Amino acid sequence: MPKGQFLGEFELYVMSALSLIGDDAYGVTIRQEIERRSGRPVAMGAVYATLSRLEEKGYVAFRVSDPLPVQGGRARKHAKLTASGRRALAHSTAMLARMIPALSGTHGGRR
Amino acid sequence: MIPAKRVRGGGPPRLAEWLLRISAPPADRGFLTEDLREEFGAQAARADLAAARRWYWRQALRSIPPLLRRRIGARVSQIGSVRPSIAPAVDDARQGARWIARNGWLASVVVVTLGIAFAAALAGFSVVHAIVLRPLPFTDPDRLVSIQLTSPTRARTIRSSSLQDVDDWRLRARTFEAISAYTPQAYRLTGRGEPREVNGQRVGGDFDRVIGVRVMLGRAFEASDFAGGGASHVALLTHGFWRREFGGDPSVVGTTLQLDEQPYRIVGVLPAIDVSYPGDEAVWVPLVVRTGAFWEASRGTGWVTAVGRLAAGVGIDTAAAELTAVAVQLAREYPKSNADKTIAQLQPVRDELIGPLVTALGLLAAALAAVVLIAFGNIGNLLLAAVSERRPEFAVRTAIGAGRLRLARQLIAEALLLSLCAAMIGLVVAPVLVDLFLAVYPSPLPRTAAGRYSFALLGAAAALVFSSTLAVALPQIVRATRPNARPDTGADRTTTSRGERTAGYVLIAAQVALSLMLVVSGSALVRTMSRLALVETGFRPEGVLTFLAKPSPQRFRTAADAHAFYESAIDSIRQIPGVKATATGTVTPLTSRAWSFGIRPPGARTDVLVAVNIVSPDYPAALGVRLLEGRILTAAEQNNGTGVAMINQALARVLAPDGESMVGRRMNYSGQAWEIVGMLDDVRHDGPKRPARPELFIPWHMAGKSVQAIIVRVDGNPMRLLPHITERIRAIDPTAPITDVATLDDRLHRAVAAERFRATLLAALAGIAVILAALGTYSVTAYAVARRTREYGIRLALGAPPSSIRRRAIWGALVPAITGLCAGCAASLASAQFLDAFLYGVSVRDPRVVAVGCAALLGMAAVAAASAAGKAARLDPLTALRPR
Repeated sequence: MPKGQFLGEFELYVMSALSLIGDDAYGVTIRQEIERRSGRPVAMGAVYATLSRLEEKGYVAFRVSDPLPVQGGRARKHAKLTASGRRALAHSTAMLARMIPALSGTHGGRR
Repeated sequence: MIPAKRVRGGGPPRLAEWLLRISAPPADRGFLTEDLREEFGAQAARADLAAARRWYWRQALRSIPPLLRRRIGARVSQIGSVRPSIAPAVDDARQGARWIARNGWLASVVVVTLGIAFAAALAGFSVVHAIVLRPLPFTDPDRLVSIQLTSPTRARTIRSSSLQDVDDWRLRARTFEAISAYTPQAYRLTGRGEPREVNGQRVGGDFDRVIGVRVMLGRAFEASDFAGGGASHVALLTHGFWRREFGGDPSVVGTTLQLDEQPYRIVGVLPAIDVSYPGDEAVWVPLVVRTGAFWEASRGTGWVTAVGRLAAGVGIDTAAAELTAVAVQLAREYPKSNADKTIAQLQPVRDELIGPLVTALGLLAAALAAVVLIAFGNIGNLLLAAVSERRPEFAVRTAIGAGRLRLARQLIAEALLLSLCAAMIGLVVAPVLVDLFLAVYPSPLPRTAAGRYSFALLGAAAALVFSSTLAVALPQIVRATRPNARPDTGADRTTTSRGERTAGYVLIAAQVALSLMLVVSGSALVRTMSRLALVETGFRPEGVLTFLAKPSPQRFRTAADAHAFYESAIDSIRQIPGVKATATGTVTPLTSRAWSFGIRPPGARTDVLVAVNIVSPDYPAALGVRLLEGRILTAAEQNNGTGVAMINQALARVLAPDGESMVGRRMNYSGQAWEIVGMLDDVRHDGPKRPARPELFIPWHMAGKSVQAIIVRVDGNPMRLLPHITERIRAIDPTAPITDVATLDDRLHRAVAAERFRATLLAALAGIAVILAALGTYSVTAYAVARRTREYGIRLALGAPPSSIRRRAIWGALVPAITGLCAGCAASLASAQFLDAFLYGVSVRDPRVVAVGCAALLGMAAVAAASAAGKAARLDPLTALRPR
């Protein structure tokens, strides 16, 4: 991870959501995951804007699925963490755990 | 094609979706909105639709800022640093926003007024754009022309050509890429529910190529479809019919359709086009000469409409010249049929379709533009007053070093913010107005239109924002930054300067002038309506129903069979309780069906067209037409008489211009002498606006196989009896389609629908204009009075009577109003030529019409000025003179 590239709060949410959801991650599931866990309304536009910023940083890659085989089926833009994205997420959570003592008990700092 | 009304379905709010689309980066646009649609669908299924729509709006509004930030951020990081150069603009905007926040009341008046004006203007633009400005949905529509023939001796061009002529043009003309023809034909559709009539278009070879559409499903017609007299029986479905009738099922290609009891194989489906061309038909079938229709095989009969596609780069005049040369050749070769068809006339198909609407929509656009200008004038006045109040602020700013440019920029930023807010209102309201307009528009439009967002609409909104920003900001800038403006603090100004008042008065005069034009045209249109209601139509419409019933040609083969069908139909309908009279006629009021021949009146040079109406015995009773002289045809004459006829008064005037009676005399028609036994009153078949045509009534049995309309007069509402009437006709012929069913009252209502629509619209716009002009006059007068409080105080203190003060204030407002009225009168008279085309029995030049308008506006200005000036007369000199 390049030095000094910290993750913003919402970026961190989005990346966590990606790692939680796995293969089925796209706009709807990501938005709902964050909304459900954070309990705050989340705008779809914010998810897309953040994903695009994360792609620029090289943390996220996209894949456009084939249209679903049903009436009105459409293609979806799925997102997943890249290897460096996973590293950045691990790094950030580790840093958080180290900085905030209350978290240390639940997440052991790796590295 | 019927204009598509917008279907407000269960989808997400369209404005919200559109805003999202334009905010999102292009690559994500589709995914983002589809994702939201998916969630919206789930929400709507779970909760109610309204809640889902609210959710969607919240999503959209919260999504736009991050999306825009992302897009701008991406660009900024590419270019480097743009921020410093936009900082002052942001500052201006912030200043402007602050001012607007401080003057919330004034700002909201400005925004709402401008917003209404914007909505009206954008709605008008949408309609004009959808119908007139948008190119036709054909490839290179400018090269598409319709072909007509005429000759120096003919009074009018003939729209119809013979198929033989069209074939010869195709072979000989080189300036055309292709030439084809079409002719409408109604078909009886059976085997799909109730038998009914559908419109078809018989189209020549290459017709799709000529007009420039590509078949969407299946294939176009091929040469083999036209061979052997069209024995292959194939059909193409139009897109609208395919959607309506087959629910857009692609597997319909290859199946058959029963048209006129013949199976037609569906070979393809035409694409959706947003214009009714050639007509509003359901199917296309190959145009071939039908067996048994001898006239279709004759060169002398014109029965198809020819259209051509000009070769690339060929002008319309070149092509017309070449085709005229071909026509002259053909006239030499076939003198018998073509002698009077020597001049070819080409008309762009666009003009043919859209041309008639341009004036009507022009009237609408002009009226809307006037209202928008009046609104601009009002806003200008309000803000001029405001900027005068802000002089101290500007003085202070100048004193601490703000340049004139800085002040101007701030005023522009304010005006821009106000205009942008107004544009938002306009963009939200305009589609609603468009749908409302389409819902009340009286006649089918040739092109579909709907209140929807487009780049053109956005462009128009941007242009409005630009012009209103300038219109609002410029006068303020001029006033605020005038070089000789004293750096006064304004607190002890006692009077207003002449120049300061002039600007406001000019705006008032312009508003009054425009309002007068609207009031005059509105009241002239309303008078037209009342005139039309009084016109004697010659028939009594109440309780009368007319419709067409066509016997199946398979069951009723001969003329005698067809006669028997109509005879038993009216006999049977007469038995229904409540029916007072029933009859048939080949011509009935307000249906535009007529079969005419020309006669040469004694001493005249040109022919007069006479409509032939073949009617059953009770025709006068069923329609309520009065017999003026002689007698009606007896039942015996109706059923087998020859050489006896009735005429109407208009025909009597043609035959005997000196007014002597025609009853008992003879006239020639169809190579036979007819004895006239009676004269009926004139019936205005084409609606109250058009005079009655000469009419000849010949005995019923001569109708042969012509289609006849059935007329039923009943007690009360005739529609109530329709099921019984249908049942009686079905009992005689179960497959006879019953079409064009309407009461005469409805038909009469529809005949003046266009006039009523225009009158309502213009009256509404004139009302808005008068209210705006009144508000403008009030605010300018009130402002002038407020500014001159001290002057009035001094006058009162020196002994001037209060009434003189009031008079002064009122005159101050009336002078610009009267100036405006003079300008408005001149402009109204100048526009009379354009407006009079929409009027009946009244003219814009009519002094009464203009006088009524002037009086109304002058009264309005006086009331507005008096209520504003009342304060001046009630002033207490002591209070007025006390330093503030």
